[in-house]
Amino acid sequence: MIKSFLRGTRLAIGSWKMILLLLLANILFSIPLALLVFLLITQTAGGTLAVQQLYGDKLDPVWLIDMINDQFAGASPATFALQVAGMLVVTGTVYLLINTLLAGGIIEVFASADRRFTMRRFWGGCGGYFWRFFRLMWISMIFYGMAIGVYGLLVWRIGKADSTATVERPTVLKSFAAMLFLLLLISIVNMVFDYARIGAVINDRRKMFRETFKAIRFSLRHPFSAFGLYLILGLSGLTLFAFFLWLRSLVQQDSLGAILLAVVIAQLAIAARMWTRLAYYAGQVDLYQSLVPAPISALPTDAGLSEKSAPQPSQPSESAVEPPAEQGSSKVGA
Amino acid sequence: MKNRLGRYVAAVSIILTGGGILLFSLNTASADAAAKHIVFYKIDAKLKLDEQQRPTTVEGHELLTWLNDSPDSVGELQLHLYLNAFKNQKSTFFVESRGESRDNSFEPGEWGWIDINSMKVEDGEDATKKIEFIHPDDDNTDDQTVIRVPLAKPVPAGGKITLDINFTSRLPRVFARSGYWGRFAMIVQWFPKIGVWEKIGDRRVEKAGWNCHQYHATSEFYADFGVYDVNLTVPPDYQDKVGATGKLKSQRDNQDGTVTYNYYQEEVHDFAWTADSNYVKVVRTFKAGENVSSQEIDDWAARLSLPKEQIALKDVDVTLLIQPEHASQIDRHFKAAFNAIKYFGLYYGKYPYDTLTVVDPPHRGEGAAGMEYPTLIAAGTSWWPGRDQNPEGVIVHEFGHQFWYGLVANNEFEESWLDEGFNTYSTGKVLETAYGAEVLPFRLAGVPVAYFPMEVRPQFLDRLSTLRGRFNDPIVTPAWKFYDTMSYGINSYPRTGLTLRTLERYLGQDTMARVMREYHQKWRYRHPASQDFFDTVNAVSGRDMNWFFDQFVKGTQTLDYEISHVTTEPMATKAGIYETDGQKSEVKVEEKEPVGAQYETEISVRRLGEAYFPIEMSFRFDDKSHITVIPSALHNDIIEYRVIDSQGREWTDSWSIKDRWKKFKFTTGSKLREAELDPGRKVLLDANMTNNSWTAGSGVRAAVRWSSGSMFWFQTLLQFVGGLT
Repeated sequence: MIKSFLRGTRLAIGSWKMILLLLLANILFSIPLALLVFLLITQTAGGTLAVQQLYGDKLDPVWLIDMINDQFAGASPATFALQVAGMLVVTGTVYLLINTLLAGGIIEVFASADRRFTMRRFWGGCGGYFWRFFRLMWISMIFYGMAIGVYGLLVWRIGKADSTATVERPTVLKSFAAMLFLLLLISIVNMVFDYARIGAVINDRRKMFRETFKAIRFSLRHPFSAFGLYLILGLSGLTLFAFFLWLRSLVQQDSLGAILLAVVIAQLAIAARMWTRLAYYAGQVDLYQSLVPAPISALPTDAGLSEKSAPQPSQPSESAVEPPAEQGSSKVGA
Repeated sequence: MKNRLGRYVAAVSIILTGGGILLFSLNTASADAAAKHIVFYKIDAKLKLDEQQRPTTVEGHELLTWLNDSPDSVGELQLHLYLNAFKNQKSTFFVESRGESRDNSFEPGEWGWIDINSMKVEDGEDATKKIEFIHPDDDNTDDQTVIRVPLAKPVPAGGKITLDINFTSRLPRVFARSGYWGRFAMIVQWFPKIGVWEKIGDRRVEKAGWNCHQYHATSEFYADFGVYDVNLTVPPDYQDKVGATGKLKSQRDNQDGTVTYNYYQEEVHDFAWTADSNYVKVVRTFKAGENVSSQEIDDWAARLSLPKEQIALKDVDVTLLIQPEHASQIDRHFKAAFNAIKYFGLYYGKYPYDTLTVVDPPHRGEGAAGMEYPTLIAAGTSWWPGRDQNPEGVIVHEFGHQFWYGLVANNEFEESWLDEGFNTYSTGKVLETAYGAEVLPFRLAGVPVAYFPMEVRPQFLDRLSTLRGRFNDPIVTPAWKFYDTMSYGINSYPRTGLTLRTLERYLGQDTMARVMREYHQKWRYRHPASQDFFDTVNAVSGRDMNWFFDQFVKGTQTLDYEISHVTTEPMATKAGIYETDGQKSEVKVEEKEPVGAQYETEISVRRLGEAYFPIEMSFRFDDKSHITVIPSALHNDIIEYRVIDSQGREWTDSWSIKDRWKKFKFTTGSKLREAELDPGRKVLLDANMTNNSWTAGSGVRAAVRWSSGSMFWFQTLLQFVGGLT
């Protein structure tokens, strides 16, 4: 697990081209919102003295109130929230699809023998695995939905107990516990489907329901190393992100130079999140390959554009042995 | 029973005649004005638990003496039976509220009511069967919150009458002030309470009669000052877990294990109490000598031009009844209560009572929270409070009602702005002085996890609440006659707060402080009407402010000025044919004067709303010179201005209130850099302050700053979503 973590982070550091690609996609999707805010401010405050109150790190409540009244006259908070939520859902869905596309390329690169990034290999992986990952995405939605359903059930139970309570503390603590539980469930689902995608690429399998169950079985057989790795990578990413957030908070954005500096730090923070994502895939590919013995290799067919390397586990236990792929051809070279 | 009544009548007679010199002293504007006692209640109440050990029922015996302080002969009495508002879904309260009140919903099956088991008049007449439900505010014959009791013998002018009443109060599950929850009970509006007989001239009424309104969804209460002498008997496990209006005079352990407390208070117009076997009781004393510095006394004495003795405050015993899970907030509660006692006292005159009780209702009992009763307030907090002003805000606000409702006892049914709005204004001032600007938290499961990057002054929260709503009603509208609950809320609270803040900024802080002090002192222990406040403002300020009240208190007009257009260009010789000494000459193209020459500036100001206001204007130029336009008079529908430039030159201008726009033209030595209407932000009622200014700058830098910031958080959110694949 530790070795996979180290290998994964090292590989992610060297994958700056993919980080840039992911960052670019992220920026492209975020720009419309930024543009909206930009126009909102220039149209409502531009040419007035209100802009002088909007520098620095504090919003001007007078402008904010006037802007809300002027731009969203008559809109109830619920309507406004619905509009924003609708916009976020549409953008988020498209972004999810883009990430589904890019995930194929990332895993393809990390699962290859030399783990070298080439445009051909990356985009070949993107195109080659998109529909499989698309199906996996829908299957994952079922599991995410189940996680949210379990959370909803917990919240309902907590609310029911609270309806006759005379103290607030247990309800708050239970609510936070439920949120943590939801986070845990989402993390597990997220991790399982990472392995489903990795398995699909390494073994070039096409039956995604079956791949999902194989990933579940893999996670159940190696719960500590799989989730341990997931946790370490997550915490590393969070720490890095928090560091950049803290750094950004030190910048008093009261001059154009300071604003630009904050923008640069913000993009570094996002790049750190991209790095974390790559480290996840790289580390998890490494762990998967170290725990699952490579079946007799077959040459890549459609998606696989390169040989996959599979370092043999130093001392694979029997329980770690996965059955060979039933369909498709494994792209693992010994 | 009769003997008991006789003893009671004798006791009341002594108080009302012999010992009643203080009680009967007439109201004056002095700081030591005392209430005229119109009512005297002697109540024995016993709190009973139901089979689930919930404190649901109060058995009561009440001796009520009413003084007819009018020249009228009164042939009937009218009393409130407020708890019947919760009796069924046909009550006016239920029809109006649809079972929703104070962010709480009524739970079916948990009704509340009050039964009068017997009612006798002092001469022995049994009035029980004569009781008749009336509904003076609407046609709801099912409402049982007001009764009339015809009298065999009218009460003569200056005479008095005593009723002997046995009653049973069943508390509802608390959702609108009164009720029980778990082991907690907030026992308010719980006894048969007489209405107010208003003679001609009282509150400027033109016809004498009872003012006894039904219990409405949006209104509060109105009653006469008097004396409350109340014995409260509670079950054994409620010992020392009781709080009530007034001072605890005695405590008696009964043979059956129950405990009886006697509370007594003069110069109040209601009595409320609470009991919860879970309360943590803490008592501390507000010591005027320690909590208020001599410097503060000196400052306020100078500000109000009053002797220091009239500014000095008195000690108050503060009892906090707090839930065990909020014990870590005990200091915050006391600090807020002490700040409130101090600042309200300095502003309007000392809090005259010896005690104050602060009640913290339990979780899910919040329907009782945020409410005021004489010398007792219900606050409310959460398990994990943040850095925002909670619970301070609610404590200061509810304490403020001791002054606006408690001491200056306006009719809350008919003129709610005089208590809620005045208190919103006063609360904002106290909170700002004691705690500074507010921060707004983001809460997750009730716990503050982050704070909005903005410091908010109370007046701006009032602006947000006020300006979001349309003004469907004037502020001076009877509480139950507003268009809807939101209109009642906006007009009675933030819109009034904003209006008074605007008035303060227009008149000046010191003048406003004198206005409020004078109004409070003049009407302490009395029942003012809106016009009494208008008159006080005009008298103290020495200005006729009726134009202000007509528009912003009695009217529904919107106020909004804007700078609609600005041109500032070098002077130019325009193209065309010109004649000099009979000779025609042609200027073929417009010829601008060179840099450094004169500039022509025109600023167009528009009045977008119906309302007008004498606003200041400030125009600043590139060479640091400026021109200020100051309103100097308003008469005959004309606002006159003094226009002063930075060289001290002065001239006059005017703007008819009938005109929608005015253009100001200047010839100056440089270009206009900034133009601003109301630069001191005095006119908080202006619906849009952002359009009050103009500058040559585009605002791109600010837009980049906040759009890039938004982009970063949006990127983070997307990254989270992307992580799901």
